[in-house]
Amino acid sequence: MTEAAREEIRRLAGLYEHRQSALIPALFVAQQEAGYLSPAVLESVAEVLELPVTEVTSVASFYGLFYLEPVGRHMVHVCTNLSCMLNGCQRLLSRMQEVMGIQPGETTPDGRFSLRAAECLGACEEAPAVLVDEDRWAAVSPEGVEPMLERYR
Amino acid sequence: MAAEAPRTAVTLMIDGRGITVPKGTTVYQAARSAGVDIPIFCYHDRMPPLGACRMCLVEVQKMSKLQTACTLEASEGMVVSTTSPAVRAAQESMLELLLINHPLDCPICDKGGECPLQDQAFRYGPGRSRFIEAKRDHAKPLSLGPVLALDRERCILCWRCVRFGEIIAGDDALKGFERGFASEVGTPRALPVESKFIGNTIAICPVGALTSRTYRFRARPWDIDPVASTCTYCGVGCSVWLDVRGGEILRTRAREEPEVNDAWLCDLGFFGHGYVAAGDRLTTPLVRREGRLQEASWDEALDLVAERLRASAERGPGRVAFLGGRRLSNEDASAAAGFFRDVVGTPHLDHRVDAPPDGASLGVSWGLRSSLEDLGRGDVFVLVGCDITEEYPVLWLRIKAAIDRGASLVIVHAKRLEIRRHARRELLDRHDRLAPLVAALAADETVASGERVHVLLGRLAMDGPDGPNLLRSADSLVRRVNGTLHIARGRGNDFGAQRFGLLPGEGGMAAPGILQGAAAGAFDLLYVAGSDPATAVTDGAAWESARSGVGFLVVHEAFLSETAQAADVVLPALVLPEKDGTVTNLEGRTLALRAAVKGPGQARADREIFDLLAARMGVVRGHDTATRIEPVARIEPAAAGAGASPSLIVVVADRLFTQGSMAGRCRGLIELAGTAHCLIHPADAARAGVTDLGLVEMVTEHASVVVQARVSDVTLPGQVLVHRGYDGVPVHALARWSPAPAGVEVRPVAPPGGETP
Ligand code: SF4
Ligand code: SF4
Ligand code: FES
Ligand code: FES
Repeated sequence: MTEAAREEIRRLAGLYEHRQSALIPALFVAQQEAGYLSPAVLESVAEVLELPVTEVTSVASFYGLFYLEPVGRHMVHVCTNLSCMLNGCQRLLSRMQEVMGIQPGETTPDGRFSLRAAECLGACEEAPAVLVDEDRWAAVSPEGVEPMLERYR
Repeated sequence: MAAEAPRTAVTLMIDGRGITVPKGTTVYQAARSAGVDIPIFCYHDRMPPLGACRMCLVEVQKMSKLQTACTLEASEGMVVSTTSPAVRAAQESMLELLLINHPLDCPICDKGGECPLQDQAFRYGPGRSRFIEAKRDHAKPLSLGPVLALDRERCILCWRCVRFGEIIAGDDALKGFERGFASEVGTPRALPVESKFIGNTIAICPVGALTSRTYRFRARPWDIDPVASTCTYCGVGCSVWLDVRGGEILRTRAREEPEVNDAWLCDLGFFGHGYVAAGDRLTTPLVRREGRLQEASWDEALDLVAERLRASAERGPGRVAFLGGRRLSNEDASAAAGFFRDVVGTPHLDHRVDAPPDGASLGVSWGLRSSLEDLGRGDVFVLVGCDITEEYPVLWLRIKAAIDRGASLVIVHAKRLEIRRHARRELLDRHDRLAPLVAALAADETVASGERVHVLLGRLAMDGPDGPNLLRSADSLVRRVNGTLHIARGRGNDFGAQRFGLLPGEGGMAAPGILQGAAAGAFDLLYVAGSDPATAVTDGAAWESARSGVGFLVVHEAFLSETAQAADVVLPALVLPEKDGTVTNLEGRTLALRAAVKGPGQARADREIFDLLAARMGVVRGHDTATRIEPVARIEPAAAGAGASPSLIVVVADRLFTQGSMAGRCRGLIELAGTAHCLIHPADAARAGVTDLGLVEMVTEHASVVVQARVSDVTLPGQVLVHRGYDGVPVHALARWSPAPAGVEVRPVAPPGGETP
């Protein structure tokens, strides 16, 4: 972890009464920099926040948006929950698998994309919804998959 | 509305009975106090309620839903039913749901026969399951280090084990991972669990999910006879059950004793009974013939010792000395003290075998100056050179509880302690520079404003180069803030040895003096019991020269220790779990020992050996003779030696898990102790070319030892920490008694045949 990331985590910790409160934002900072939360990265976060590494790992493992294994440069979440299912997310997901050549849970050989089936992304009104990194894509059609992915190199 | 007078008691109805309890009591506690059983899983009375398992549901009038009795505060006029049809139905469904994923492998489960899940399924369960899908299927068991095994299929996610680490021990050893159906407890990536208290999680797990790797599949609870006794490792004196089957202690459990260990043990106590049944126990007396120790009868051995003692008496009084006591019971210590004072007639006795001559340890009596309970009520704790979790683990639990109630912890040490996260202030410096830190504490706001300040001065501080100054500073600090100074020094039954007279009498020498005297030929006979001076004396040369300067060495031992190997007569001794009697803990409390098993072969209690010897010397000893206790002379500590301080010093530190004569023979503890190692700061390691986990040679002007290096900022720059208690690695050989810190050089050792880096 770079000194800049450490510094940012320290700054975050200073915003709260208890340093535990900064844990989730700190994990995002670390993940952004390292790509995923490896044991070594988790240990660094624990060290900077002076929290037990068991606690840091426990919290990181709870949330779907923290990655404990290496992932591609871009993380694609396709919602498969109720509204999106009713609006055809299965076809969307199949198209996605076809274009990327991988199954949900896998990463493309060139390391460009990781694909995941997700629970409700909170965008039901525009189902089917897709989250690429931090961008939310609404009402994506199977035909829209390729142009959408083109934007992420 | 008019303010009501604050109530201190409330009356409620539980199952038709009126029950009055103090305000703030939960419904569960109220029911329990009235003998009404409510089933629980997640609740444990030493931790605040959580309300996770929902096993304790009760029906409360005027409340629309069933309530969890463990979290619900009893209030005036409340009407509670623990047996209504709705409650019964809820209990049945809770158990049916819990059993959905439970493997029900009771026939091969260690918990079988003492399992709350089994008992409650029997009493409150539906007796049938509608579940036909596949159960959760995990590889089992998952090993979490040398002593702990986790069966994830059996876990009911009650969180007791996780909360124990967070609330009681403060080590956050076990945690929950993932979420929802995938939730599991454990450690990150199933790494070995890091805790000194993990045995307690095995004890409080309400199912067979956490089991002891040393006890797995060894016995059924109904085949075991529990014997109430006391742990004799560190001096806290935790109350234990020694569970015996077929003449062997199979496990140790905490016995509740609110004033000492409450409901807990540390892992040294929990896993520390294996040595009793070790295969290399001494079973017959040994006598040196033609230079070799050879088996002998008790008569031959005792006659020989008695004859030597008489011969010495003829040459004059005081030509015999006694060392030891840590591993003796109070009764043994008293018998030894009486024997040497009254029968042999020598004032040269001392149990403080590991004390150096110029530290602060010899000038004060050892132990706490208040009860453990009083100490637990403190509002400021200052640990000076006291590594509490390595030295007195269960005492830490009391301090941790006090911290949670608002007390402050201040650490003054040469090492970053593992509990530092809980400290308000940490003052670190090299071992030889601690005294000014203590002196400065009087100006510390927290310490100065404390109402009940407890200062614990540890061995590392007292025996260090600055020991006398540290003692003086700590003493004046507690005077200024009206606190209490505790001498956190001594292990095992050192406190009983001190109390029952194993201290120098009038004109007698202290342990270092005895060793020096022996070297100078002042003694005809040196007698050792309940100690292994060859590994305990902190000057590597002092023991050797004492041994060669004394004509005859008699040792009571359970094992052929290094001291025993050098003896002329070795008398096989029982160990404490084989004896009835008492010990004294560090607060001075007398605690009972009960013989759990018979000793091996012809081994005898130390006390009996002294009586047999006394009879041979023409004195029949009754056991009611009051022991004379000589007051400890308060010696003025010498000023610390000035002089150039070496750039890298070696400090011998304590560790809970070691490979000494007892722990080194206990399965599980051996692995926890690992190989002997030193801790070296990254900066010093880089300078010396030392890599983490590589072998190094530590060289002083006196000796060298080879240990593994752990590169870590737990130690400070300029200071290498090495642990005593690994009997194979004589770290004490590195140093000589000296008020100056010992310089050391650390060199990487090339692996044989490998290239030097
Ligand atoms: S392992 Fe035992 S104590 Fe820990 S959560 Fe599971 S059932 Fe509870
Ligand atoms: S704290 Fe001490 S007395 Fe208690 S179990 Fe541990 S070693 Fe034994
Ligand atoms: S169900 Fe897909 S966004 Fe809510
Ligand atoms: S015991 Fe009350 S909810 Fe678990």
